Formats: sequence, structure tokens, C-alpha cells
Amino acid sequence: MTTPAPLLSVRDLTVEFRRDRSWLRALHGVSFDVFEGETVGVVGESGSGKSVTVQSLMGLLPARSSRLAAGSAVFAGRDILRLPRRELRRIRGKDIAMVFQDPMSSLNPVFTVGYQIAEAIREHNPGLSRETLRERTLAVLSRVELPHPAQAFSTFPFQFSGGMRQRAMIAMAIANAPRLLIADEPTTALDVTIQAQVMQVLQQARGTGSAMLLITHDMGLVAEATDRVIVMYAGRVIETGTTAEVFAAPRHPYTRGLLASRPKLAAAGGRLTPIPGSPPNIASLPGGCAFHPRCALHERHRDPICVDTVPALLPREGAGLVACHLTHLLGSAQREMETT
Amino acid sequence: MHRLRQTAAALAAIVTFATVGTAAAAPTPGELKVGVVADISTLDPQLMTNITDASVSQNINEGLVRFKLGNFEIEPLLAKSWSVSQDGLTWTFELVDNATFHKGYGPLTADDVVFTFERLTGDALKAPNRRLIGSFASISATSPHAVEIKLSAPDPSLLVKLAQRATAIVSKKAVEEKGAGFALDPIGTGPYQFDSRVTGQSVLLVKNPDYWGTPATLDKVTYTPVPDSTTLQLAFEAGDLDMIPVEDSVKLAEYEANPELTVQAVPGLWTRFIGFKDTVAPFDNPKVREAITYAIDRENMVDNLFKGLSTLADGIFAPAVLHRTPVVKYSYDPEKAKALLVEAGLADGFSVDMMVPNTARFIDPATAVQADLAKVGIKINVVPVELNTFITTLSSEQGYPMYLLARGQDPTPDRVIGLWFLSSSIPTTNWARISDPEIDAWVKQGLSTMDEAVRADVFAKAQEKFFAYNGYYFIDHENSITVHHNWVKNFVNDARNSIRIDKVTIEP
Amino acid sequence: MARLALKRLLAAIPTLFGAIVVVFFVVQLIPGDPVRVMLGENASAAEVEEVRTALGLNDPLPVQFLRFAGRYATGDLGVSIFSRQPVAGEIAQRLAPTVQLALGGVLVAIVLGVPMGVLAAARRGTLVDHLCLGASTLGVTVPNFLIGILLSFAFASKLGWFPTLGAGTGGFWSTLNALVLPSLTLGLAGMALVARMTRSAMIEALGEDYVRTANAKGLSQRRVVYWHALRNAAIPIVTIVGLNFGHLLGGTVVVELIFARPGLGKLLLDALLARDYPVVQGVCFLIAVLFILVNLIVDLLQPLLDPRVQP
Repeated sequence: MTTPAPLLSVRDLTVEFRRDRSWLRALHGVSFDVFEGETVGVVGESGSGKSVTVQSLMGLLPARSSRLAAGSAVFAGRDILRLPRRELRRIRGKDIAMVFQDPMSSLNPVFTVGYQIAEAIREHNPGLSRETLRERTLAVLSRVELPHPAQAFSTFPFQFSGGMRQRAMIAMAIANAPRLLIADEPTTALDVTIQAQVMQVLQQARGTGSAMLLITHDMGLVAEATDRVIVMYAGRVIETGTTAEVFAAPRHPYTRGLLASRPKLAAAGGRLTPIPGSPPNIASLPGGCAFHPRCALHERHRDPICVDTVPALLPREGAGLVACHLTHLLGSAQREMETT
Repeated sequence: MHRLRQTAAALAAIVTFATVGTAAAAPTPGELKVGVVADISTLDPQLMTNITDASVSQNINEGLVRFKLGNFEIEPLLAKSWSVSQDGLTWTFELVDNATFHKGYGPLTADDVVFTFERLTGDALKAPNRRLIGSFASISATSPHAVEIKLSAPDPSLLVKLAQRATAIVSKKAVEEKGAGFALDPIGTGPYQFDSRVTGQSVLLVKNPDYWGTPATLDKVTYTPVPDSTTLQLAFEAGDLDMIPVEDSVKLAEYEANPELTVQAVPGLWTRFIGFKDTVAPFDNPKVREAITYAIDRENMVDNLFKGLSTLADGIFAPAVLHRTPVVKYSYDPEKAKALLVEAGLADGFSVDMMVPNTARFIDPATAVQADLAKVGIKINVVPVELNTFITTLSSEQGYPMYLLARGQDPTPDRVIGLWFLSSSIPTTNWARISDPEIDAWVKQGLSTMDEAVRADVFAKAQEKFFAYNGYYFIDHENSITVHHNWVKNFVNDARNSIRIDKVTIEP
Repeated sequence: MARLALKRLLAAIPTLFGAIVVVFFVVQLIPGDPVRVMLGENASAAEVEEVRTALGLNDPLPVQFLRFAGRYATGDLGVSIFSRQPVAGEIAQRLAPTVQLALGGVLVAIVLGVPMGVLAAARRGTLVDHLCLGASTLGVTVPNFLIGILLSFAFASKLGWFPTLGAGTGGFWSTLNALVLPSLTLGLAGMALVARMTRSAMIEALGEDYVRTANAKGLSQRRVVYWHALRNAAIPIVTIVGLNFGHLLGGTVVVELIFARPGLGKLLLDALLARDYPVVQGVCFLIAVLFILVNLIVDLLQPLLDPRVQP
């Protein structure tokens, strides 16, 4: 069976940031695909490169202090990393749209919500009359289930609650029916009680036509909302696969650690099991596999290859890929860890 | 493409717009444009005190008499003849019978003259110069065209006072009608009448078609106040102004060398001097004052610093003042100065502050004096003081021990000699505090007699003795200098810089 | 909005009264005598005293103050000691040209300063940024009378594009034509301030998340910078222009002098030097009023520019 061509195909994406006089590598050869209509989760700790990845796709990284060292991102047949500005602008907000983490700061405080949404529509649909723009804005405001859309139209962002603001952002992003919707930690800044609501709105409102890249560090969210998942660590993709598989049988020690560190209601009174150590500083990455200083497997087996060589992303059991030298040892180790 | 067109359109608009309002630099026959330094304050002759007001007003309101063009001899104007009684207390003036006021305000009669004088001396107006004629007693109309002025004491300089602005005749009807508004819409009998004024920008006079005397030679006269000297010069050089005063030695040299311009410089009615307070040390010692007179090189200052802006002072009073005598003589002898200081017990010299008003007119000579005096061991600290504060302090009991100033004078010496020489004028105007009974007697005699020969004699004696006190060191008489383009014809400058425009024509 | 304006104006009355009191007494403290100046160095003490008494200047100070305050309460600003003309009239004749000049200066400062600041911020750290900052700094470092004379010499005297002096002959275009060089002279100093303020406000705005969102929406760079970012940066810029209005008013004195324009600055300066107390008091009072008005306008503009601010 031939698989259809991916909607977005990222290969070897390598991005560097300028610090003082030198360039620091923030992404090391990130590669992944997104297919039409699917939801792909991107998870990792802070600093793993999740946001950098999607922002570089949209060309939103600061021009003077960042650069694309290598890689491509083919979207609908074109490498969007090498498009001239004018072309890229046509895609932004239309074919690919983004929802940002903090809606308070991400919406312009001096314009009404309705204005900002209508602006997004007008930019990619020149020549529409004011009435039509208003109608469409109101329509999309209803889709995100904002009560009293007509009122919401003339409201300023600061007058909304956090959840309503994020709905407005979502409305702005889906207004032009994007083929790919990127949501960068859309619920992180919200109350727990609102998070579920907003996620639901996100799922519903985007419709089946849009694929979604969902950036998050919340594994529970990933389990509920995504079809496939990409796990990132220290600027690299270290495991990919369908959500079901990765959750059932994680093939990378880090992924295991992520899953194990979720607070489990069932084990009430039990201790949380965080991953030991802290995320590395990209300026001084450990040699070889960046995870090895915190890796239980490495601690047990002390294989020098972990220290010398960066593991390649290779196919794993089932579909998907994993980047770990000792992944084949994982089965036994897991059982060992679980009995400790 | 669109942007290119936008830019081109903007540029075209700028050029078109910028050429609007470009002043015509060519002279217009019949129109004179005078540049002055200050704006007018009022055009009411009885109220005015500044020189611009006077320059403009003289064309509008005429007095009973006036000065001849270019000097200070008296000639008849609204009074065609006059006589004075033997005791000098009653003056009778016969008025011309064909003079009329502007804009239909009727003929000039004796009533207008009486009205003018009573207005000047009355309490209601609070005129600053109400005491101009100190011994004024009364005035009455003896016929429709004759008036009689009664004085309480003889006044030998009355005629000169009648040529001043404060006694210029105004229309009774117009003053009563316009009230305070008369000051900005004056009505007189003069060859020009007031047309309009834009505050801070211009005053326009136009020819009076019904003038009773020799018709005016110009159709329009505009006075433009330009307070900044550089701007004034630029406007003059561009031809926007026909004539301006000159106060800068570099510009003076430049204008004199330019064949298309005419410079007229006349020693003005000012004397610039250094003054001492003779009642405080070290200036209470005559030898110290004398020493200073040997220590300053006046010629050097006038020749090299002022370069044509002034004339060396050979008298206390300016050359144009009646009965002034050339009593001022100094020689530059620093060694003699030092010797005198030793005699005075100040062999090591001394230090003192010298106050000057804070303009270049006084600071420049003060700096030169400072340099000269330093060579004989006298250390001068030049202290610039704001003019108003300066004058108020100088005239007070406190005074200044040493200062540099200039004193304006009148064509007759009466007012100033009394203020300067008499002991009763200490400290307000007799700043050196010279108290000499002989000088007092001579001056008082000269002021109270109508006999010009006696006046010449006693005033000469007073000046000589006064000079010998060395209460002042007289430097120079600043020149009254005007420059005009050659298309201005028949302009005659005078020692007061009054800008008399009788006979002026424009011939481009 | 109107209620707010009214409230603020009423609250300003005590301020105005305080200003009047201060002006009255401070002016009296300056040594010097207007009558002595008026009559010159050749007036006798008796003459001076007589005129002083006639003008009420020898009355005790509290008496003079009451007379003065009483007049002001009825809107009578008194009479000039020198010209004997009503002070209100002297001011009225010069108010329009001064306000025109002040507005012209503000306009120049904004029209030149804002684009410079925006450009510098958008090209931050590059040569363009340094050039813009340097050019705008010239506006403050070169004394404005020098700028005025240079401009006058080059464009008025030599090229004849503008008049060397005066405020125009009355027509609209003539007035505008005569405003160009003086406004440029006055505005260049303000331009430096506005450019710097704009630059820093823009740098801050451009770093905000909503700019990232605007870019993500596919808006053109121009729209993002000049509409989204500048619209936010306008808030501190307007505030600073308003606060600097006083400085600008002070600058009109020199400009009016150089270009021989009638104006309040020159009126005040001459009156101060001559100790024409009623005129000094009247102009200072008017300036206080202008200040209050400008501050009120700036305050009223805030809610218009920034919906987060409650009127």
C-alpha cells in the first residue's frame, strides 16, 4: 500500500543562534513528517527545541541572531525554508497558521479581537467587503464557542479571561482554514479547568481539513489528542511513532522517563519519579548521546558508545524511529526498573 | 513606479510652494523700507519713551518747532513765529492757519495745542515725561491760531523741548474719540499718516495727500522691526530693507567698501565713560583717579577696537551739544600712572570690580580697559550686570565704585548738565558724587538765564572744573551710523539717528 | 470624556491661582525698576518717583497684589507699563504666531523624528541605526540659534525660497511659507528626543509577542512595523511630546528673535528685561494655562490610544 505524500516533510533541520561572537546549535538535524489531517504531538522538556522547530518553520526566528545551518521543510511541494519573503507571507496565516502559548501577550492590546481576526481574513482574501469580513469573523468566533460573538467582536483582549483569549487566538488561526495548524503549548498558560475546554474547542473548531502540530510537555494531553508523537531532547528527535505504540512501549529511556514521571492517580501516596538530573545547556552538550548522563540504562551498562557517538534515528519495533544505542536492551531494563 | 510618481509630485509641490512668498528684492519707487531694531510700543507722542516710537511718530505728529535736517538748529513748524517776554516767563506762539489733521479730523487750532500740553502735564495720563518742561505753569489760546505758555522760571531750552515727541501736537477730537486706542491709531498733522500695523512685524505709513506743507516725497514708508542683528543684515543685504542702523565694526568696514551702499556716520549724542564713586576707597584719592587717566590707551581702543563705530571724546558732552567745550584731554603714559599710584601709597596696585551692563557695547571696552590697567598693576574684574538691574543699582545710594556706561544727551545741555553736575543730583544721576559749590552756582546760573553768552561762559567754566575732578574717564562718542542702498536718495543722518525722511526718494 | 475634561479643568483652577501668586511675587523680587528703564539714565529721582506713584508702583505689595488678583478674577489682565495697552491685547496679537510656531515645531519633531526612530529600531545595530541616532543627536547638540541662522542664510537669503523674516503677509500660503524655516529650527531639537523615544519604544514593541503573531498571520513587514508596533509605541511617544511642550515653548523665544517673528516668547523676554510687570504676569499666566491645556490633551489622548487605560 502506498502511503500518501506527507503534507509537511522536515529533513535535517539545523538551526543555530548567535551568542556573543559564536554560533550555538539549537537544533541538530531534526526530521519528521506530518500527514494531511493528522495530529502530531511534539513533546520534550523546556529547552528541547520544540518551539524553535515550529518557529523556524514559520520563519519567525529573529533574523539577525539566528540562522538556518542546514535542512529543508517541504510543504505542499515547496521548501518553505527557502521561499522569498513575499511567498512565505502568503502561506503564513493561510496554509499554515499558529496558535501561541500566551494569548495575553500574543494579541495586540490596542486593537479589538474582531479587528485582529478580520485582519487575518482580509490579508489573505483581499477585496472582501466590510460586511463580509464581519460576517466571517462572527462565524469563526461562534465556532470557537465564544458567547455573544457580536459583543466579542468589539472587545479588547484585556477585557477577556484567559480561556476566552485563547479561543480568540484559535479563531484567528483557523479563520482561513489552514492545512496545517501549529499549536505551541496552547493550554500551558491557562487554568487546569479551562485547559480541557480550550483543547476541546481546538479539536472541534479546526475541522478535519487541518493537520495539527501540537507542541506540549503535557503527556496526558498527548495521549488524548494526538495520532502520532515526536519526542525531542536537546535539539534532536529521539523517538517517533504512533501515540498508542509509543505510550505502550517506549523505546527510548528518556521517553520512558517522561511517561513514568506523570503523576498517577492510581498510585496515591506513591512518590513521583522524575528523571534524575536536569536538561543540558545547549552551549555545553555532553558528547555522544546527549541524554547519557541522566540515562539509567547507561548507568547500568556503561557502554562507551553512548559517550562517543551520537545515536542515529533508526526504525524501532513496530513503526516509528528511535535514536538510542541501547534500545535493544530496553525490555529487560524496564522490568528491572519496575520492580525497584 | 507608483513611488517614483509620488516622490516627483511631492518635489514639485515643494518647489512651487517655496517660491510663493519669495520677497521681491527690487526697490519700488515711492516706497521706503526701513529696518529698525525694536518694535513700536506706542504711537502716542505724550506716552512714548523709546526711539523707534519717536522715529515713526515724527512723520505723523508735528510739534510747534522742529530741528533742521541734519543738525539741531530750531526751525518753525506748526508755530510760524514766536516771541518771549523780557522776564522769560511768557512765550507766545503764532500757529500756521492751514494745517489740518489726517483722515478728516479737521483743522489745527489753538485748542488742540492747549489740549496737548494740558494732557501732557495733567494727572490723568500719568505721562512719563510730564515734567519735561519743569517750570511749566499754564497754557492758553489767545486766538484760534495763537497760544501763550506761562512758565514759573525762565527756560532757555524750551524751544528744544518743543521739538521733542512729548510736546508733539495731537488732535483733541481724535484723542477724545479714540481714548486708549489713539496710541495705535494716531492722528496728527504730519506729511505721512498712520495706515496699519502688524504686531512685531511692520508699521506702515502712507502719504498724507492733504498735507499743509511741502508734500511728502514718498508714497509708503514701512518700518520693520528685526531684533537680531544678523537677520537684520541679511535682510538688508538681500534688498528686503532699504536702510538699517550699523553697530558692528566688521560689517561697517564691509559696507563702506561696497560701492553700491552708502554709509553715513555722525558722532552721536552719547558719551561713553568709566565712572568712579569718589566717596569710597581707593577712588576717594584723586591721585588714584588721575593715575587711571594716564593708564588707558584710548586711541588704541577707538582705532583698533571700535574701528569707525565711535569718535574719540574731546569733551564731556558730544560735539552736537550746544555750549559744549572740548575740555577732555588725556595722555597715555603708563609710567606716570605707576608713579602716581606710588604717591597714593598703592605701589603694588589694587583689585576692584568694574560693573558693566551685559552687552558687547560695554563689555568690549571694559575688556580693553582691563588689559590696559593690568599693565600698571590695577587688577580689574569685569562684572556684567543686566541693564535694568545695573541702572537701578547705579542710581541708588549704594552705587558702584567703578563702572562703565554711556550717557545720552540732548541738543541743549540743560537737562543733563543739571543731572550730572549738581550736588543735589547725588546719588541718582550724579554718580561720582561730586559736590562743588562753585560748579553748582555756575550751572544754576546757566540754567536760569536766557542770555546765551552768559550760558556759554558759565557752562564752559563748569565743564572745565568738573573734568578736573576726574570723577569720570571719558572714552568716546559712539557714532550714529546708518547704511542704505544707493537707490535711496537724499537721506541725511543726524546725531540722534532719528531717521528723518524729509526729501528721501527711491530711484532704482 | 467631556465630564473628565471638565473635572480636570476645574481641578486646574487652584494650580492657576498658585501660579499667579508665585509669578506676582517672584517678579517683584528681581532688582530693577521699570520706570527707571523707561525714563532712562537721565531722569531725576523726583521724576522717577512721581511716575512710580502715579502708576501705583509705590503702593505696599499686599495692596498691589489685591488689586492684581481682583483684576485677574474678572478677566482683566492689566495694562502694560510701557505701551499702556491692555496686556490681554498685547498677548492676543502674538498668541496666534506663537501657537503656530509651537505646533510647527511639534510637527517637525514628529514628522522627522518618528520615521527616524522607526527606521533605527527596525535596523537596530546596523549602520542605519547609528546614522539615524547620530543625525538626530545633531538636533540637540547644535544650538538652535546657529541652526536658525544657517537655514535662514542658505534657504532664505541665498536661495530666496523663504522669507528671511516675519510671519507672512496674512494669506494662508504666505503664513505657511514663513513657518517652514522657524519650525525646522525649533523642531530639530525636539526631533532628537522624539527619535530616541520612538526608537526605544519601537524596539520594545517589536520584541513583543503580538508582533510575532502579526508576522505569523502573514502581514507585510510594513504593516507589522507601522501599524501593529508603532501603534503601541505611540503611547509613550505622545506622553513625552506632551511633557516636552514646556521646553518647546521656551525654545520659541530664540527662534522668534532670529526670524523676527512676533511672539509671546519675545514679548515675555522684553517685558522681563524692562520689568514690565503686568505683561510678565499676563504672559506667565497664559503659559500656565497652555501647560494645563496641553497636559489635559495628553491625558485625554491616553485612553484613545490605549484601551487599557481607564478615562
